[in-house]
Amino acid sequence: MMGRPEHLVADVLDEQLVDATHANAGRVDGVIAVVRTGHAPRIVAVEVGAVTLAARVSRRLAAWIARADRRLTGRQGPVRIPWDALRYRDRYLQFDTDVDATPINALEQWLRDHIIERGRK
Amino acid sequence: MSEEREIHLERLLGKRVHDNQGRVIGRIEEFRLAVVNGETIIAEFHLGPDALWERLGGAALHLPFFRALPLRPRRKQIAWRDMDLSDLSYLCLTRGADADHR
Amino acid sequence: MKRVLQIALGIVTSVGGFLEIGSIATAAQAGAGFGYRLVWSIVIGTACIAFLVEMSGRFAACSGRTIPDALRERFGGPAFLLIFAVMLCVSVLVLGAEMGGVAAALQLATGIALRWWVVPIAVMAWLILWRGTFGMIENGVSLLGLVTVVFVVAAIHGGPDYGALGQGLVPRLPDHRPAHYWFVAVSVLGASISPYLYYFYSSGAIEDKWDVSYLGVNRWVAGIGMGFGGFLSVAVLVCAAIVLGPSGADVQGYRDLSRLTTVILGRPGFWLFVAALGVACLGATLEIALSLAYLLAQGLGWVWGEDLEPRRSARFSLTYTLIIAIGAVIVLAGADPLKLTNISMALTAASLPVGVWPFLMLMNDRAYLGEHTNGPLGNAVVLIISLLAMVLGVISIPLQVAGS
Repeated sequence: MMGRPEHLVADVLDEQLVDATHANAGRVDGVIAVVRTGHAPRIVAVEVGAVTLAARVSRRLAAWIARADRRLTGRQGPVRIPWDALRYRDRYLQFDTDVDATPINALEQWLRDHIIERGRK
Repeated sequence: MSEEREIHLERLLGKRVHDNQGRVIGRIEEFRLAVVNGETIIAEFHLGPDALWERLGGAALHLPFFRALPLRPRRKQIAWRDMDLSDLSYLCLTRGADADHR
Repeated sequence: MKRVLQIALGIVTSVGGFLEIGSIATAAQAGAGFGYRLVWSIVIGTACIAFLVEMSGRFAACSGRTIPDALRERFGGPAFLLIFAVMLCVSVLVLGAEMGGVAAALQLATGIALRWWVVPIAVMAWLILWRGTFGMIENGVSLLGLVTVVFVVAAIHGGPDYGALGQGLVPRLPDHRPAHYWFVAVSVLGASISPYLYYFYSSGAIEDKWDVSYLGVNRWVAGIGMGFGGFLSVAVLVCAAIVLGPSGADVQGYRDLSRLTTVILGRPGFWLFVAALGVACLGATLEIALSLAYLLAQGLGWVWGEDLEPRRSARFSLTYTLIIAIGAVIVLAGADPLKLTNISMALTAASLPVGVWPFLMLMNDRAYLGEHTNGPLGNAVVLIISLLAMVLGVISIPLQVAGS
């Protein structure tokens, strides 16, 4: 990651994510670290998605959202973005691919294809 | 070779941390990051209401009402090596770690 | 010259968009039940919302962010979800009341029962949001809302007691029905200080691409626009004091509301009232639906924007669609729109700390505003009035519910 966030909660968690074209791509809903005895916890990825956000409030709610998400979009779980793929900017984090090439906007695409486009026909 | 496991850092927020005598010394409110050998690590765990003020940016203290209150922020910074993460349901300091931090 | 025109347009649209069923109904009940004694509640409510709207515009212009964006970032996901849940619960009730207001206007105009208008109104509101642009909604509907000036015309024509009106500017204890007095006072505050209004305003400032150079425009629009809007609410109260006050009758339905201008101005007054009610409530319907969609989309980091085609902002567009549907269901479920108005305004007031205090903390954060953070006056006004509203709401709502 380029740039340097100094604090996880103030600078990373809940920040806006944008893709290579600066399109909104959700928010950092979770941060994954790897823990090993005798070593400092190392940040490896961020997670994006309602399931991860819901898990911060209620595990039961998160499980329900996960089931609904799987049924609608086919996603098998929250979307992870490797930490090294992120660039830290002041007030948002950016990754180098198009958001539509990731599963982040699967629900957006599903709604567009199954409801909005169907309504236009 | 020691085992690696993944943890969700956001789920540690608000969790109580205990000293070696089992007393609660604070709640995790923030993590200070550092880059070591190109890797981003958790250098410190910040505990207690003062860390919460950190996160809020001290904004509340700028409000006329809160400025009048006798608030004295408490700060505890626990280095990564002093935090035992083996059981996430009961966070505590490692053996020999000192609870009296700045 | 361009800025002068922007100020003028902003003031005009603020005035045109100020009144809605909440401010009309609560001001009418204040006038009908207590004459001029509750003018002070409109004045302090207006002062508070003027400060909040100015803060909201200043926040967006200085930080380049909307309020929901900053709330999520600063207070975290779980806190944001709590704020959203409270705002959603209260605002959909208000939305139901506004849609009921539009339906009531059409019922008054045609004689066809209110419930038959709910679905067509929901479809019309949805179509305007689906097809329209932000500018069209912000300016078009608000300009039409200038018809609400009919209340000022009626108030002056009706010959108010200016002395009593002046005395009403000073808060006083009630001389009768204390529980109802404080309930109406808190309802007036809730109608004036609606969080959806300034959440909408901050998103609008971003949609209009405001920057620091717009701070002056923002101050004029918020101050004068909201001020004139409050003046319209006072005019409604005056009309009610003149028409309904002498008999001491409560406002029982929309026909009572229509008498405010009909008795004073005759048949033209009736039709102008119908137009004013319909347009004002339609504007509020659009604002509330958009405001909640903005809140969710910005808090969760979705693509959003009223100027975007719905296919490019599917979650945002379908959110306001769903919200309008929920509002329609509330009215179709048989909720009495005027009772719904009263309780939703009082609940808005009681829940103000959730909507207002986190925002106030952001307004004091130099990381977002640099040198443009709040001064002590703005902090004090908003903090004290919102605290007052909450306390009154928590006390008076149970009393009113028990009393009725």
